[in-house]
Amino acid sequence: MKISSSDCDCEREITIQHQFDCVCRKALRGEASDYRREMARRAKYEVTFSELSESEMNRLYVLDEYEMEKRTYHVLDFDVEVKSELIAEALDALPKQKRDVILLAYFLEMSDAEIARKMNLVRSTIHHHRTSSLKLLKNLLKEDKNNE
Amino acid sequence: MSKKQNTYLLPYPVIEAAAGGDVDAINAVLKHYAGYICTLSTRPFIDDAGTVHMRVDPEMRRRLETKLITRILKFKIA
Repeated sequence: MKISSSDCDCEREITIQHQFDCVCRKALRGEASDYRREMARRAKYEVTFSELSESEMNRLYVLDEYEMEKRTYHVLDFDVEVKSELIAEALDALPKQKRDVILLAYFLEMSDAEIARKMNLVRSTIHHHRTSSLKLLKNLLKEDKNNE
Repeated sequence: MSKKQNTYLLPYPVIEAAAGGDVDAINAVLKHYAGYICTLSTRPFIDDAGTVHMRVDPEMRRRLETKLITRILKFKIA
């Protein structure tokens, strides 16, 4: 026969053991269902990068364009934008006609014949302008590099 | 009856110590519930080949363990 006081104590302890077990299991179960719900919610919105199409990928970032960073040249009836400062500087150093030819040929991708028609010149003149100004540009850029 | 209970209930002194913040006791509680935590955090994983594997999600397991620890420390012995 057990003594009643210790029996009572023992029962209390068992009760607490049960309470503790219940509390722990409840907490774990609740947390697990929280986690599952959270995962399900995230899965609705989350996409892996590899599953994105290219157009969606491109929408993820924007490159700002500033007027300061580019120089605009007005050639015939076109506006040509030059973004690289180095090239813009070199272009500035060229005489106007040569610059126009370069801009038309390389930035607007026109052929010599087309440029000649637009500028009322002979095709070979354009060709000469183009090749000689390329050489000039090359030297200018080289000098720039050496100066740095 | 008491013998059967002892197999799945933590001994009272351990509960008392864990609620009081004793590290060893808390570890004992974690160990006691490790199996249950693993069961709860097992979820299907789909591999590249498309087969479904039941695996323990380590992140989920850690979260459950953390939750259990915070709950133990909040436990008040009536």
